[in-house]
Amino acid sequence: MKAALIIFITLMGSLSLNVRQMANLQMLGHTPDMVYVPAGAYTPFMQESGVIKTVKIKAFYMDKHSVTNQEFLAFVKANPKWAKSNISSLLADQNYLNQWTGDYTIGNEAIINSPVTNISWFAAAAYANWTGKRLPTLDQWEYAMQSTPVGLPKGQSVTSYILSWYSKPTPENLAPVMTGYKNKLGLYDMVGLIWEWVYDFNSVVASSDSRSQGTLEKSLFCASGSQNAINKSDYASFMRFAFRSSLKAKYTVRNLGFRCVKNIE
Amino acid sequence: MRFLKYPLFVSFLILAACNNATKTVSVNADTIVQTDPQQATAINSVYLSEEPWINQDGQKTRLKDLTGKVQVVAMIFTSCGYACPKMVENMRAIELALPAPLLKKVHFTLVTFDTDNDTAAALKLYARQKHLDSNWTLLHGTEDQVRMLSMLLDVQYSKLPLGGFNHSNQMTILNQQGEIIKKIQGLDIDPQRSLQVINSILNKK
Repeated sequence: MKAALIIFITLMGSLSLNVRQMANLQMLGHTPDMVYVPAGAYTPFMQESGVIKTVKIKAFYMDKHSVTNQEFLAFVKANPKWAKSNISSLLADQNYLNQWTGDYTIGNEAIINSPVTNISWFAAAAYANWTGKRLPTLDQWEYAMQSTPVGLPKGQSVTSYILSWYSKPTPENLAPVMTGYKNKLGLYDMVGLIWEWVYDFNSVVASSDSRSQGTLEKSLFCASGSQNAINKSDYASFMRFAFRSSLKAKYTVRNLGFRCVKNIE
Repeated sequence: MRFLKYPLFVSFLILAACNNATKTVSVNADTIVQTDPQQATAINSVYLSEEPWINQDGQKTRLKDLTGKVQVVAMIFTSCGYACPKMVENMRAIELALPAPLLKKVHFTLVTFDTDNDTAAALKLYARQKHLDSNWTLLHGTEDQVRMLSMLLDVQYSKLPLGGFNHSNQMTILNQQGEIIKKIQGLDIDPQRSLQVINSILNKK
């Protein structure tokens, strides 16, 4: 695992590690482009019943920015079965890495450091595994997202920031990572650039489940009448949860990417 | 999106059928199978991982070991009060409706969501209670294995804070290579429809 991690870092090229950093990295078990997310309590947006529960989150490391096209290219080069023309249609739909011109070519200078998108959950999970990391759980991701924003225009709330992003069409070339929204933890672009896969996105049971189907569905799609969301005016969260529930693991979407986490044992 | 995939899938079936035809007339069938570029057919198999699961007898088993028979698969947990027993009942109905010669070519597999409590022993007990014989495999895996399989089969689930699971109810019929042929949603299902699907898979062979 350690070896794979080191190979990965070498391949990324953009990081020039000196020996001390390397020693550091082995000691901490995470790469320098991850930030520490301290333990804490978090109130999930979707609640099972009337009683609001909080979930305890253990400390973990999270990628500072979402995985870029260039980083993903290194993974594909090392794992050719994830190249566009080799991938099983079970694992990604036909738009997989559509923004790249070839199997091992991005072909567009402008998006090298932009988030990789048009990747399926399977591809994201395989990348995470290859780097010795994991995809964040839905709770980890939402918890980290709730960190206070840094440098938002005065008077603008996170929700209004997100909603104004939702209302804009996805640009032809996504902006490079770490050029937009930042939060206090030091995480970039948790909102405002792309949607991100989470490990258990399919835990949002939207149809024919065994128990609370009715209430869950209502709380997902019928915002104003819902009893089950903790903040009914939080349309941004409603949209995020509704979006997740519309996904399947092989889907690829033009503004859906991912970042990884590393749990602390 | 699903519809777009369908013709692809049909073409796979046709290719598979052609291969089989070639095999039967060929003297050296083994070589053909090994060098056959269309072995890539199995590229759509859900039996991707080599990671071992544990069956109801406590034995290590890989999903690949399910290759060779048509599989009727569902994800359940044994302490589930209503939906899962109904699902198993539906699968039993299919088993009972299958004529003996066909039954030999079909297998039933249950995979538990409950990685904490559904040990091999718990699965064994469940199998006994539900009269599930050697036509059935009950699998226990790690959380990652179960999550991955749920993604491959398109089954949604989450663990509830007070125990138990929320999950979608789906029975999946796989062909002998582990490719998904049919997903049947819900609990109110007609076994005859599943029989038709199984028949059509077996007739392709």
